[in-house]
Amino acid sequence: MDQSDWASLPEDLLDLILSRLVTLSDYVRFSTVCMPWHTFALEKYDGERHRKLSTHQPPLLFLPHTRGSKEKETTIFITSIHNLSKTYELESFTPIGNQRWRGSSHGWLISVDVNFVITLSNPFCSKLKGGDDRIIRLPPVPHTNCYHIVKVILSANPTMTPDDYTVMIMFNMYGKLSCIRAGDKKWTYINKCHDVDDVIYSKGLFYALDGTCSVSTCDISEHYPKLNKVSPRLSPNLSPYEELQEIKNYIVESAGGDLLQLLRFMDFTIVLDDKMKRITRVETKGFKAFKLLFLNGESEWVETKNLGDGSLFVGDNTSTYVSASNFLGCHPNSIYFTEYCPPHICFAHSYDMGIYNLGDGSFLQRDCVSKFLSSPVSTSPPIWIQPTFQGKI
Amino acid sequence: MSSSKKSRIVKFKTSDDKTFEVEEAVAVQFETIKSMIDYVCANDCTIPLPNVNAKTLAMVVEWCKKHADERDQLMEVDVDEAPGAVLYDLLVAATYLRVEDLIHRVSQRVSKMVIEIGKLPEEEDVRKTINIKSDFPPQVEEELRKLRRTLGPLSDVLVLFVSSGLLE
Repeated sequence: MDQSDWASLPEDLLDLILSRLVTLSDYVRFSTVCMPWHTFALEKYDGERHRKLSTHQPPLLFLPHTRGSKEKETTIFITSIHNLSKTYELESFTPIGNQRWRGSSHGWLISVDVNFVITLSNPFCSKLKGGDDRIIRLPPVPHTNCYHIVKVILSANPTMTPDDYTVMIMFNMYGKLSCIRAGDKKWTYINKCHDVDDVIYSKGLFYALDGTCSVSTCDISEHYPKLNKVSPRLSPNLSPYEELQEIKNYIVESAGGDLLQLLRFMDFTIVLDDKMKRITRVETKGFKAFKLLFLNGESEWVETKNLGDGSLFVGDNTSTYVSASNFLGCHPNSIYFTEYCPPHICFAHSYDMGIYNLGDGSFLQRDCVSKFLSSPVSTSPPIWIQPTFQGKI
Repeated sequence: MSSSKKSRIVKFKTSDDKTFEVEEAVAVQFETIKSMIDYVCANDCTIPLPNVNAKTLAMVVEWCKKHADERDQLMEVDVDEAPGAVLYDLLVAATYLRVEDLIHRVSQRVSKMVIEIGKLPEEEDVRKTINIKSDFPPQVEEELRKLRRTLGPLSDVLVLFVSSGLLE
């Protein structure tokens, strides 16, 4: 006799079980048990749940490759931080025009074509369900080209809130900002901004980090959005060696809501390639992390070598913080980084990636980049991308 | 405490028609009937439990008798041996009687089992344990099985495959 019927468990009990799942992977596993559970998991995957599950879900690595044999075709590979040397082929397609990948945000990949049109595409969306919910084309950005768009940041996942999200772009060499809201026809320039290095979004505000290492907020609900300084400048003590290096800044919000600033130190070395041609190789030498602390009503950047449970993902993606403890194989107190330098600077496609341990300054997986990228040839950098659950069976 | 105030007995009738006598100290932990205990005892009534059988009620009573620190241990033993049907009955009973702590423990345990379904290549074994049948179309089920076999613990890659519509 079998009276139990898990598939038709009352919804409130099912919800109890769902709410105990910590990682997105577990959530997906739940959805692959049976059809009613799948439907329920999909129904219950709202913005709040997505945020909760995402804090324990490390990004995947997105690798668009062009194979020698099929030159026009780009194949998307994906790899997991469990095993960075193993890749999985996702799909192949022929890119339209001269589109370039420009990072990722909230699980959406960003590409820019020669007509300055920014396209958001979601590799996690089913391609068989029409194509409309998978691709978002934004109006062209005036007076810029695809090389000039440095980074694109979304305020939210358009799948979760199709009518309420904002796209912010960092463009041209002077680090200007412009944004567009869902449904808008025109881009809105952000006043009083220059030299912006990185942007994140949190609780209704964009946070921009500029070249002086200070943070400003931007409220895009204002009619003429502008930047308002909210932190002092950071004046780090650098060694003479560090002074000589190229520095890139990132801003990240920790799971506890602290603002973190990362300084990344890079070297460009000239090496000879296989054909004895001189090329420049970009190499990350290390990171420094600073936390914005509030003491007696004043804020101050304090260097830290301990991010606790945090794993940070930086590169062309929206800088992301993940709690490592709930995810097997994810290194805590570490920075997962990618870097790409285009041929017009390096005379060749130059890539760098690895895992930097902030505690002892050591690197892991430094060689995986050559495994990925020597063959097949890739014209785009590896990009961290945050997976989202959109399972539709 | 005076002797006249000694523990009263609350009577239940289970779905399989058995009468159960439960000490008041235990019965007050059933949120659903907590407020009616005085009335029931004064009038010598029996509370019908159409959703709970005798075996399950015995387990719930056993759970309630234990101190909080012993419950973990009880849960470990019981659940490892408990087939899915028992776990299911326990969850339904705990919800019906509203024994909050037990509801949480069982749902936690079920979540763990669900997680295992994706982790093991032979996922059917776990599905059998909690007595649940897959009702996906056969080709979807075959695809899932293949993915689990090849990817093993790389479940986050599985996330991607599942959600990229590969299963359609």
